[in-house]
Amino acid sequence: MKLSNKIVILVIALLTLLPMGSLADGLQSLRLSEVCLGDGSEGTAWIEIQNTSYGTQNLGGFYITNNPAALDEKLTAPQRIRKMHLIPTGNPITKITPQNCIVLYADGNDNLGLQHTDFTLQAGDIVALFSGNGIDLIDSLTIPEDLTAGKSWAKDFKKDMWRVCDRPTPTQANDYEQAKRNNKIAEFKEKDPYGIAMAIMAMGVVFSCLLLLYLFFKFFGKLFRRMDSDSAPAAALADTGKRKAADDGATVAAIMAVTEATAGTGDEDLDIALIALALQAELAHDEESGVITINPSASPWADKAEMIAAGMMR
Amino acid sequence: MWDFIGTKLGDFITFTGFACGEWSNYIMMLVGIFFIWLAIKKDFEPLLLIPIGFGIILGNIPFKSIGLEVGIYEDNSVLNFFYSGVKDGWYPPLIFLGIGAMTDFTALLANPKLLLVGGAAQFGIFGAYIIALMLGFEPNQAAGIAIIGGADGPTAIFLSSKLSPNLMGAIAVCAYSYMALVPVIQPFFMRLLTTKKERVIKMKPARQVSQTEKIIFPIVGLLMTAMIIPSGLPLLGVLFFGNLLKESTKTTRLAKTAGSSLNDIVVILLGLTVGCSTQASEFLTADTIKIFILGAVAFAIATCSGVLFVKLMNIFLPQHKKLNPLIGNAGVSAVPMAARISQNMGLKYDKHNYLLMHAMGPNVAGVIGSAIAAGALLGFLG
Repeated sequence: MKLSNKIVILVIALLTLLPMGSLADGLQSLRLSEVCLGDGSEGTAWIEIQNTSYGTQNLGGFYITNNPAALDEKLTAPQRIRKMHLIPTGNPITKITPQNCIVLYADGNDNLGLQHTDFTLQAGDIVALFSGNGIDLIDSLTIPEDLTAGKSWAKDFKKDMWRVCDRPTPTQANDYEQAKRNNKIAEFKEKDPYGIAMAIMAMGVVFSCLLLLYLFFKFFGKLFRRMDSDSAPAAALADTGKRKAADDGATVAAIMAVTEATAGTGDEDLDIALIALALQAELAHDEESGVITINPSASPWADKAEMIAAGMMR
Repeated sequence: MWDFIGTKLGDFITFTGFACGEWSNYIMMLVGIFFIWLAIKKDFEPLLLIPIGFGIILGNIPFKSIGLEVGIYEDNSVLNFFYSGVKDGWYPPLIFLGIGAMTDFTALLANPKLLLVGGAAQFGIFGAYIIALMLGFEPNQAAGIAIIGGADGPTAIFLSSKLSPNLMGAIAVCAYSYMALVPVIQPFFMRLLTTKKERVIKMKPARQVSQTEKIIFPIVGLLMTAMIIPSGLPLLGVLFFGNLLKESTKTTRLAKTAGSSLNDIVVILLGLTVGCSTQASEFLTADTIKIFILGAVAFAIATCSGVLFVKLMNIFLPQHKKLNPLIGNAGVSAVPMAARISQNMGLKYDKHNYLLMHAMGPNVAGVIGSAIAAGALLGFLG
């Protein structure tokens, strides 16, 4: 290959690969998941951010704000960044492990630590999370006007909807179904620590279902066989069948006896094939049922019989 | 410009699998290759182990989770889309549809008391549940692990996806591995618990079952099980539906599709995504080792309880209706491997004692039993 061709291939490869680096900026798995307003005395407002992925995400270097002006796309990145709070980098506290949450305290005093923001929150505010370039909006929410202190505005990811939550759950997933399930699990853990009750109950359920099926099909099977035997032609056929089965059984026994006596060919598969062929030759023929069925049909004789019965002929 | 190229190439290198990989990823890749080898060379469940093995390799290719939407756990990725069938639990019912469309319940209908043998084998599930709790698992995790004792891959995936999704990869791989190992695990316990005299018991030939009975079975079966345990509806509903498609004799085309093409498609997607879900960070843990030990224990208990239950039934049955305890192992729902073991063991001790059709009764009852057990666990803990 010529050197120029190699260069062309290299350039094409680089052009193909370079955009992959720029794709790295998307962080769609970080989500604003819950926000709570402080009650002014003890509690402060907080914002919960959830990592919905199964990889660890680092929030360090990202921006968060409650200033709606930061959403103005006409502004340049530095102008927008000036309206945001920078989440500091270089500290493991900002790392969010898979499927976990982090809480930022919106108390307007970021000197208190990495998890404190320089703004506070009111009902009706927006909260927006931006990536490290200050332009890419990762997620945003608007706090309802009627949200009172002590309650939270939380996202149910399963149902993909926001709702007011009477009992805020900072750092816990907002899955209401899961919360119910957790209560059940906790109850079993407390009251049935060895699993005996579960084994008794669940096996009881398994056996109840199967016992019902057994009883039904035991009696239904009997009923069905009785219905069959009540019908005379069917009984006759069954008798014929039994006779045939007895005959067939004798034939099978005879063939098997011969096979055993001669110790076969020594090859088990071949013996089976030979027995099958012998059985087919012996048994594969029609067997009449021995029952004759006469269907009434219109004929001069039938007419005559009816007329005799009616006393019309002398 | 060169600075720019240098920076971007430097960034790019940090995103490659070689830069992101850990030793655990490579171990998992070797496990995947081992599964493929087992399937191709040793013929161990190739239809399952090849997709799972390849999925393990695929799922363990390391990359930086930076929102590229490529990983199985990343929203909107193609693999995540495939994975939704496992995560949301809709692949297992589709497999059950195929099982229903392929299964002949004649052996069970001819001798309905075999249903109880299929029930007894479910003791394996609850024995393992108790031991799992002792080992420190949470009740929901213990239930997900214990269902391995039912010897039913789709049921294990269904229940673990609902109750313990973080353990699902290990549970699924364990369930399918042990299903492939049924011929290795069961004969020992069958020999241990039976006498030579019991092994040669010849069972009464099964009676003829009419087509009407076969048609009524899925309808009555659904009503009698799902009305008691509605949480088992996703599995039981489609199992009986598939069987009605087969037995009605009017929907042969649908039954054929459900039992062949559709089933194959779901098996491909299920196997691949289950394999992908075994990422080293989640799979190579002490819990996985415990799960594999518990799976073996569950299989052993299920086999023993099935055999012992048949022996118990024989105490009450008249001489001409006695059951051969070698069919007790078939109460686990590994169809038809478990029944085939009964057949082989029976022939070993009496070359004219064909147990296959008798063993198919508890075997298909085990499918129903494990689905009911899964429904019960889901109902109590879900």
